Amino acid sequence: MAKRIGLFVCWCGSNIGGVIDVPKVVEITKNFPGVAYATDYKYMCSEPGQDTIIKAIKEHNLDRVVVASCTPRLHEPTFRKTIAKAGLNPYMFEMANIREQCTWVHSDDKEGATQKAIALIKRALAKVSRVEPLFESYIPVTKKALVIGGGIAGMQVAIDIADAGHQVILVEREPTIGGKMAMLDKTFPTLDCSA
Amino acid sequence: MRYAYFPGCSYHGTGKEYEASTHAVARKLGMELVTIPDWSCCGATASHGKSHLLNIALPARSLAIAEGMGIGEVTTGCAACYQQLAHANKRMTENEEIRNKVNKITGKEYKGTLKVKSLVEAIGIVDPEDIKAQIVKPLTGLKVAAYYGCLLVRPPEITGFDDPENPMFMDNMMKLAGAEALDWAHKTECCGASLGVSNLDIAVRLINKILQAAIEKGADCMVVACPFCHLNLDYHQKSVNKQLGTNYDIPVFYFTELLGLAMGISPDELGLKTHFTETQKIMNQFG
Amino acid sequence: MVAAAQHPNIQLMTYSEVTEVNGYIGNFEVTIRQKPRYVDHKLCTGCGTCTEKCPTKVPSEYDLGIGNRKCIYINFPQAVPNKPVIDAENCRYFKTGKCGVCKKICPTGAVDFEQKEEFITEKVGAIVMATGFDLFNWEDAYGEYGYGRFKNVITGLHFERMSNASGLTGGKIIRPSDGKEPKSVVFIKCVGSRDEAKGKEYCSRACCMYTAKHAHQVIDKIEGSSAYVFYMDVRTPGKAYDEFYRRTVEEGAQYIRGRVSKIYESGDKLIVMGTDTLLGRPVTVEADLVVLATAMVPSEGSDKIAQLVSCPTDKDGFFAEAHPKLRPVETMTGGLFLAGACQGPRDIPDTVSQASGAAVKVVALLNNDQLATDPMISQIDEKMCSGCLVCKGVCPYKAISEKTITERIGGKPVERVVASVNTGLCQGCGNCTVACRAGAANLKGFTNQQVLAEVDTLCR
Repeated sequence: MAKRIGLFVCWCGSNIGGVIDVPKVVEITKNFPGVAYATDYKYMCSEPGQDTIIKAIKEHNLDRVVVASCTPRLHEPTFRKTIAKAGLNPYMFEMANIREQCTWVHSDDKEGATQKAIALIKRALAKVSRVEPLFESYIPVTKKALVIGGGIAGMQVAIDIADAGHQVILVEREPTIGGKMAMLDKTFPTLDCSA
Repeated sequence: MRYAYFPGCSYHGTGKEYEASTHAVARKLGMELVTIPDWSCCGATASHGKSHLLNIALPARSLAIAEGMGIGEVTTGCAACYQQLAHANKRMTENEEIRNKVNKITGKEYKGTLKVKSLVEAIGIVDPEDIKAQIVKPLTGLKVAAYYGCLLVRPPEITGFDDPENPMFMDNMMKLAGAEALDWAHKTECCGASLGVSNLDIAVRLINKILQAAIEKGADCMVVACPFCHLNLDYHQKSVNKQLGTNYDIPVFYFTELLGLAMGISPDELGLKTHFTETQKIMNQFG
Repeated sequence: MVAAAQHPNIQLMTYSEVTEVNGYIGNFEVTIRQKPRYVDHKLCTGCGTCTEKCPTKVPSEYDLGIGNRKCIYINFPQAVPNKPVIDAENCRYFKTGKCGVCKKICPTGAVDFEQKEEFITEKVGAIVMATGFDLFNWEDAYGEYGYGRFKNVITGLHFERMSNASGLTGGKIIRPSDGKEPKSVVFIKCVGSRDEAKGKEYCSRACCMYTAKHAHQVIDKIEGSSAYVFYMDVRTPGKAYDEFYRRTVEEGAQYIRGRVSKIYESGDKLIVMGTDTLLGRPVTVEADLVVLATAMVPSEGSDKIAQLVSCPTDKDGFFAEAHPKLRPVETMTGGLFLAGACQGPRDIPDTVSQASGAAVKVVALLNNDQLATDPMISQIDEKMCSGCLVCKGVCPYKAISEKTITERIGGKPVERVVASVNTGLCQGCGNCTVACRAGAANLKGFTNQQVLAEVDTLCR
């Protein structure tokens, strides 16, 4: 079955749109083999932006998606959830980072940046053409925590976890807990006792 | 041990006794000091205010000649000469661009193969047993405040020997000579250097602090490793006394003088009689 | 401290060290070494008779050597647990076989010289690092402050031990040299902090405030005293912090903006030479006591524990968080969290907030019965795997192990070793895929085929 890629190019306000010629980028990249639908939007991560993606997947029967916007460290999880909402496997997705790796660093060369954005998007399209659905596996959880260090940090963590109903092992290498804090006299800014 | 030796301008002037005692002690230790032929002014104090390049070029000329001697290591007694030579050497070895520029200025090719050591370092790294073997009249009971001044051990990137905050090389030598080296705080405080000539009012205050600190710790005398430090601390004691109403008369020696004394070299040969402070007592005791 | 010790859900293991950590998020297996205390804490009532009668005194680490402790000891009166341990290194019985006074007089027979170290193995779902800080060893770096030769140059922590009412001096601030009350106290901030040449580049964050507190305490506790604070900046960004600092200034603490270039002894005084950069002139202060605000550095041994749990550290040795702004209490290792100064210098209010933040992350994790794992991890094509296990050596997460498979070759079953990826441990870094000469290791979501297609497109 032929691949049906959806391409969504984000302006990120003027962060991307102020540097590269977004409509031109869409015009060129939409001809890449497999691209069934291509569009651009001011803020792809916004609710209307995400709705655009969901609507397009349904209307154009898309089976995979490329979003060209910011770093995947920021919004990859966002868009994975978006396409999952539209019924796709969340891993049928690729991002092209045309902000941090393009417009933010090449704002002095608009034409060059536009060409680089096109290349980055083509890369993502090539990748997304070859992705396969991936499925998470599940592992059990031992409901107990280990806290290493019995100073103020360790004690506070241990008490909070324990108060939430979980078992905690608090390990301290010295004979007594309290760490540096217990050595202190009064503590700022309230001058109350530390022990 | 063989060194290319840079005497410096004070060698037959204010630092005459330093020069004499240096050679006397070197002979005892089997250290050969070969004077760099046609050595020229190191450029100290004045040249770096005029031009940084000149400041490197002046000592670089002597370095280039020394390199030609094929000895490999250069030493000098004067702390300012040492600082100038070591600084130029560092810049010339580390930066090719500067090396080429300076070589063009001096008209002499310095390749950057030398090591520059101050006399304090050169004697300080001699095997303590070899020094001890030469000590025939130990300076037992003599309390010495070793004064290093500002240029000998600092900045550490250039000098690269001893501790810049609490240097010990001369202290250790004095201990080997049988004296008691005092732990005191003003080892590296400024002596005023050329202000001793150009602005005595300021220098007097600085000198006073150093002398005061040494005497407070119970020093019988001081040792230095720089003709300028010596001029200020020795000659200008009377200026301090005059201006501040003090009553200083503490002998200030070059470290080589006391080493030489302990090695049994005669006070005359060491130049001990050319001081402005009272050295007779110590000469009587140990000479 | 008591709240932590008495909580029914907290198992407190003092005098213990984590020696081994295996496993992965939700499923760690840890080994903990219980060091021998030589006192059976089940029998001990904490009566203190043994400590009283012990004949051997050694400098107290807890009081930073200002005072002594016995060889069977409790660090401080409110200690938790309030039961002693024996310092076998210095104990007369352990050194000579004679003495045993503590054992003889213990009314419950709790002293047990035969006690051995014990290793306990526990399964846990999450680990929180809270290993704290130590103070920068200024004695090695600051020759101008005397390299630690002057008794009356101390650190802020020394000062705390003196002003602490349960400390050795009963809360009295004294000069270590002669026990006299100091009338003139100089504080120096940024000793080792913000000093690239001698110490660390970073700001230690708590010093401005505790120095203000110390200056306040000097003025408050010692009649007719003067407190001088040499500072580079006063950094008090916290609730009620600047007000606290202002109050200290109004009480009479003299803040001098500049560094101290030298301290030396003159008689029984310390002469502090510095500069006032606001007036543009040198300053000399005669002091009875000098207190250094030394930098916070990672606690001793934290590098070893970082290796045990595969936690990356930053350039200064602090544990590295997953993201400085968005994931400050998480690490790049799943199920491993950070609390307090082990991640970077911080004060108590920040530590408590961060600790509660880490606790929420742990609770959110432990509330799950099972966890979904990221599918973008390595997989081994067993047909192509030669079993060389180069991948095992390069895996930073200990996620690859060997596995024996049976193949039919010429109709006969043949056993052979291949690499196997633990899906819980693998973090999808891709090291193994690069190291694999056979091309058998592949990262799902970043397969060799996908990456090559990207490169092809870019080169076209």
